[in-house]
Amino acid sequence: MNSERRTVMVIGGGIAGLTAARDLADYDLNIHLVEKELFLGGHAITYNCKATDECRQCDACTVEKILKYVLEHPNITVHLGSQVVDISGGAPYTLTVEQAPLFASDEEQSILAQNYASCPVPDGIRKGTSANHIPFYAVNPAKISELKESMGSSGLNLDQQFSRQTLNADSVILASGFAPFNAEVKTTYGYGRLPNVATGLDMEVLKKETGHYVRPSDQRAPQKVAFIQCVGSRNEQLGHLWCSHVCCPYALRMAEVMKSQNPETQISVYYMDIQNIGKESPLFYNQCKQDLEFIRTIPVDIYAGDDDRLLVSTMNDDDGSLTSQEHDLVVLSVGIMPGRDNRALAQLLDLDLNQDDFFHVQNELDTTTTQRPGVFLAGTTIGPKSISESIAHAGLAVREAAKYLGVSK
Amino acid sequence: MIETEVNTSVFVFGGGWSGQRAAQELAEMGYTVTIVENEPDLGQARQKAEFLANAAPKQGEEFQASIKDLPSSKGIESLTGTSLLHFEGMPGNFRMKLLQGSQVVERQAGAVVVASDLQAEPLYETYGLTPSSRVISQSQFEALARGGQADDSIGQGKKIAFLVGLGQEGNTVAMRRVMQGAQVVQERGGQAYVYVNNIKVAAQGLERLYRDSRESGAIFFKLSAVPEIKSDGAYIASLDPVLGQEVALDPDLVVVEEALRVPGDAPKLAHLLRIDLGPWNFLQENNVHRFPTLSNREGIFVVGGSRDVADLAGSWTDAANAALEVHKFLGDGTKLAPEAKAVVDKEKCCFCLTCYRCCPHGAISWEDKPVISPLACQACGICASECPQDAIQIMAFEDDSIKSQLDQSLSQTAETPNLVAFCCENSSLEALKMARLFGLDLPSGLRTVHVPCAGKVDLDYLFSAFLKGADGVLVLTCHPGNCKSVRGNTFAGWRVENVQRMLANAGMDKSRLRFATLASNMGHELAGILSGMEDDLKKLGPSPLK
Repeated sequence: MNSERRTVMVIGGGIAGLTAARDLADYDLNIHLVEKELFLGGHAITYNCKATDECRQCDACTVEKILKYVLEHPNITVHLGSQVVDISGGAPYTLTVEQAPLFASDEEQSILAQNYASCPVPDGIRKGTSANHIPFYAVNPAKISELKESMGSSGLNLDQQFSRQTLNADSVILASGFAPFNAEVKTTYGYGRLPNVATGLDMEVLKKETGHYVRPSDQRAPQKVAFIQCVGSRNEQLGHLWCSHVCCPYALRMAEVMKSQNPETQISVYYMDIQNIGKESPLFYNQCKQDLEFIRTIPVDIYAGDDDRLLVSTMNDDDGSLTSQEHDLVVLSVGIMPGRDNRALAQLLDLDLNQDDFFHVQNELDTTTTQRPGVFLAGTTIGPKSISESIAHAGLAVREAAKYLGVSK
Repeated sequence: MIETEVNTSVFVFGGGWSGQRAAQELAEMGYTVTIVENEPDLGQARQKAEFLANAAPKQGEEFQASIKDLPSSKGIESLTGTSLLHFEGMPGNFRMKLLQGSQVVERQAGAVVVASDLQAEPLYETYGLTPSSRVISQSQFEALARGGQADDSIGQGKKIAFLVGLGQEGNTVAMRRVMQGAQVVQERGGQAYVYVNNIKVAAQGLERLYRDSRESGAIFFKLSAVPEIKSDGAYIASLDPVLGQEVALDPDLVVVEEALRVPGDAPKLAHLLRIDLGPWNFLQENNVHRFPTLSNREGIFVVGGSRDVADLAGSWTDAANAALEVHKFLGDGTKLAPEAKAVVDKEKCCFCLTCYRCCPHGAISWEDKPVISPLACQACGICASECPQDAIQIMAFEDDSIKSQLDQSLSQTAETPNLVAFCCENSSLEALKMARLFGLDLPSGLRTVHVPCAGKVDLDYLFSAFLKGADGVLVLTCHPGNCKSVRGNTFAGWRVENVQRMLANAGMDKSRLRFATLASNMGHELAGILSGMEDDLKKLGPSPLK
């Protein structure tokens, strides 16, 4: 790292943060990429390719590509398991970053690999989801003391402490991302109680592990699937007056993958309004209409049926009576909610949140510049965005940061 | 690597909203800009897409405020009333001829930003309507609304019907226009009725605007097909799915939605610039490697309505991204670039122009032999494999080096079948890395050959692999629509089919050669393909050529 250069800190290593780091690296700058989790890539890296017999432009491979670029770039320093705990000064800012122990040495990694499957502490050891997750194994910092009891003899030094370092940054790009809607809030859908009610993200994680979209209860290919849209989004009662942009695309793309792998699968989509899906949206939507059953209503309840199947009940428009349809898997299209750390980060960085708890934007066009000099917003910090929207928005943030730093051609 | 000079001027095609913003961003970075615009002045160019500001008035105000000084900006030349006649050269050094009035003007630049705004075309016919004083387009309605309170045609007591998202699938820009319009009607004491199918709200603030327009009193009918409607617009009947009964309306005004399209000359522009068209003639392919603002040619970038339906915020964001890309490409005018990424052997070249035609990146020009620009070439190797004279070599992937990869990998004979996989570095090579890291089972006889794109896999390599002792050969490439070099996967597929046919003619089982498509994150799928092939090869036994 060149000490003559100026420095930008990017907070958050999801797709917006990765893109910001990549684009900043084109300038003669040092970049610190600070990621709270133990792996880079945020939510986006857990998504699987949605190609059927052709690419469906889901952008999951783009995330891999940008992640690889960031890892290989000499100007970018990645801080995993790290959080900004203090910021002082005006620009340039002095930031204190706290980092969890990473167990990144070859020796530690091989101990973790050996113990991963047999680890007695649930979620004690974590494994990456990408070929570009280096290190590939990590220890969940919240479980270190539990692990000490069960892995005392493994040779792993679990007495390592969190470390702190002070970094200076001329500019900060906040790309701390979103939280998926907690589906347990919609109690009538039985999420967390009924094994085959899963969120779209759960399905992605299952596929990363097994290679297939399977029923959580028995890991078998589902025969009759329901997708329920707008779970947590576009919900006035919850005060969520926003569409999450990504759920129609991921649900319909996932449904088409299921259908192409197993043409016998019957798939119903419960929805209010289908949002556009990529550049060829009308063509793709027409294909979906041929392959899937679209039901324009949002289900009221989900009940347990026999053999871990599910009864999805909906209200009839004409007389208000309830009918139900049986499915063996229900996928909840959970939406994009403000990041759980938004309030803490807003306080730390002296930024405002809007009425929805996303970060406040000052303009309708430049949605990246904040009232704090040199601090910029990127990605879903300001509201729901798809992967490609986040990439473009991160580019805008970098452009504004470059202007602020006075970097020209 | 050698230092190469590039021209630090940039052409911006289109002088409307997105063109003006892109020009401004570039000029701020220190590049000199030439805007090329058909309209007689930049104000009129913007006015043609006035609907973008009508859709989001606050975005419009901010946009106008930011570009108000543009005409006098340093480093920006606006050639209005001008059309492109001729375009040539290579990234870093493009040349163009323009027709301005009756004069031919010439300019040079290192990079290009394509920034035509969208055009609005009313969909009267789709709704079976004839335009009249009662039946008007969304743009005409917006002109009335701008006319202010004095215009009572949309005010007190008037029933205004908006038709949107039924004649086409719709988009957030069209939706925003209608929601804004409906609110204006309500504010002026009229009653707005919106006939719509899917309400497109996947944009910042749009769900809230939808709520506000309903709260203002606008009535939304959510239908699944075009309602029954008299061709003069005097009567609209639809089945209200909520009430379960037919609702009839005799509107005073019927406002018909508009399709938002690229200008009609987009194909001509694409042809001149040698860039690929996407769906509906947008000037960017539907390929994730291009998003947000890249084209298939280096140094040519596409923004706003030229690449997709975009609102002003989208065009604004694209302009910033294109500026970053121009900077990545042109820098300060001096670039470090390889002396060559591909070389043509003049002795072997028979001047057939195959390379020129098959290059997906427009990287080849013609002097006394084909010249492959090192700035434009992306080293995919399609030309090298298609060249009938084998006259082209790709640096780091010369035929000899691929064959020595093959020699080395096949020198040890395994007990299990020898399986040679040609892996594209953009997809299957990454998927293989993933499969290994995830600890998935891979055939012990697997030998991989790294290629920059499956388009580099020559017929000759496939034969060589069998002759050198492979029991089976796989060509692993990207999904259709995901090839970074547009059609490397297509070429590879054709070549595999050809060789399969030849193998069959020679009495070999053609399933010893296979073709599969993958993405970089498909480790499981890759492992499945490989183990399936290994099983089949075990059944087939060793290659008869061994």
